[in-house]
Amino acid sequence: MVEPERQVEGVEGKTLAVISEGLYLLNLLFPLLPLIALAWLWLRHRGSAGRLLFNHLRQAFVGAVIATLLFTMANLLIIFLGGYRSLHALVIFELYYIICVPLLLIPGLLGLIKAMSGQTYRFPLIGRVDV
Amino acid sequence: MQYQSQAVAKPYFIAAIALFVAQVLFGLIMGLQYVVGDFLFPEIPFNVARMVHTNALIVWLLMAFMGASYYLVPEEAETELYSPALATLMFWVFLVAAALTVAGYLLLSYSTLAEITMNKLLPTMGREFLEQPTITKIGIVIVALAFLFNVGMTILRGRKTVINLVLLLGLTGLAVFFLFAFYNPVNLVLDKYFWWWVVHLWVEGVWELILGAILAFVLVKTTGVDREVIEKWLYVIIAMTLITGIVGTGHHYYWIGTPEYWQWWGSIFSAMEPIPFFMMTVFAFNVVNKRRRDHPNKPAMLWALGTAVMAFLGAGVWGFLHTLSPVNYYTHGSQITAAHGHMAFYGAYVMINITIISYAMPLLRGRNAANSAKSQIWEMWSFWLMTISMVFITLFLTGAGILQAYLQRMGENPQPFMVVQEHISLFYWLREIAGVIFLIGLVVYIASFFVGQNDPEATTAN
Repeated sequence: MVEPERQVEGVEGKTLAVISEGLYLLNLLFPLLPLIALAWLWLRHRGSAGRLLFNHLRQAFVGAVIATLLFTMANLLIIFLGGYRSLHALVIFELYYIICVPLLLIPGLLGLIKAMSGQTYRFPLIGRVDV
Repeated sequence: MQYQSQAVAKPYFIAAIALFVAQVLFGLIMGLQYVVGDFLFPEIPFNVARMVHTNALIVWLLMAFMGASYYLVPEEAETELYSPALATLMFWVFLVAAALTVAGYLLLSYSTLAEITMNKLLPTMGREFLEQPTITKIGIVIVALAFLFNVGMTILRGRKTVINLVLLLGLTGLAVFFLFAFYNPVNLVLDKYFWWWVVHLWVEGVWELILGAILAFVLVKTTGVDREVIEKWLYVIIAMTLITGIVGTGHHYYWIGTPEYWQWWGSIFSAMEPIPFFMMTVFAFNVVNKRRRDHPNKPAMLWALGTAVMAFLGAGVWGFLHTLSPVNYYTHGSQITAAHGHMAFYGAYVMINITIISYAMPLLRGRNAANSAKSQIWEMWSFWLMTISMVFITLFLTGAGILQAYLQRMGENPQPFMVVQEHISLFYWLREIAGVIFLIGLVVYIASFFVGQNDPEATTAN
């Protein structure tokens, strides 16, 4: 792991931390584009992020990758089981929505609130995943 | 309690809780009738149990909103209530009207009730949630007008704050949209079209304003955060509520005979309806995070934060689940709707009313700020029992709804309604068990008013 150089701090760090968590949440609703934005932010700031930004950006990025993977898997499952007009499409969509979305949503929401207050936060389970 | 006239809120809160108990009991009866069809038949048929369940909910929420207004408006306006006597008189009028209506539902056939209340003169009965006899509806209008007059005059002669003005806007909307309950055209499409102006524009429109105002009031009082900060949030939240909620009515117009464009308008705007709830959650946690003091009334804070989270999940997330027209084509009117309805009503409106009751009741009962530590522990237990069981009720109903849509509306050989009901009965049993736990939570909640009465008041150190 590259040790961050602790440069982006203060208001800028807090703003970027809030944006990171916001992009993570947006990625739950409209996957991919927010993930690309997060990846760009991560690549740009991972070496220079202060403690707050590093904490939120890393978790938001990891969380968004996991969320996008789950979303992709749900879609692949639908395609393999007969396509979007099949009987399974609705059931998989609903199950994904009631199981995955709330489980990913609540930590993101808490992360956003902590970022807005300038505090660090660790996502349950996925918070320890390193990149 | 800063103003003597705030005391008029107390009977409203007590009656609201009593009606809440009735609502839950009839919910349990009805839940059992889903799986044991002739349970309590013919004494309490399913349609009557459902009517009492939903009507009791509406009435107790209105009672609690009124109580909340009578409590918070004098404090916000920094003046005594314009007429405490009118508030007390209207309480009894409302309570007696509600009791007579429920008695009518239980003791008479619906057609007899319609006949003896002279529904023929101005027919308004027979529609879901608006089953009340016309004379009861007229009573509700009188109570609402007297209530608005009382609250409005208090605000007019006192301090105008964002909180009491947003509250007044919400309450006025509530009264105005109820007038559509009197419009009952013969054309069924028109009937349903305007029926939603009462039902939808209440719960996904003006009631959210009332919710926002009450939540803001409790947070101002319990966190000590600057009023300006909270008021700015409130402005944005109510703007988003109205922007998304009004055109969002279109999600009820997909399949009732209205033009096809509603599928686009309804889908787009109602997909945005979770935004104000999302903001409310961020707002509540943010304010609590930045609090300047630790208020000794911990349950009130818990209920306030719980309201924000559960309203977002129930109204926002579970609403979005089936709001897009291509999904709704399969799911409308299924148990998924019931799942959404249960969690949204509990999260948004039941919990906000319990929040204000939790905050105000210790003061109305002579405490300085909070109940005893023992009483608070009981109340917090009730919070978790009711909230977790409601989450399970929602999950079981969602499971039932998914299976129902799958078996009944999709595939080459869709099965008949009653056959499908047999297939999903396991979910109904599980829902009933969760419902019993909810009732236990409610009993614990009521018990919290009586335990530790002689104990000293809790402090922040407890």
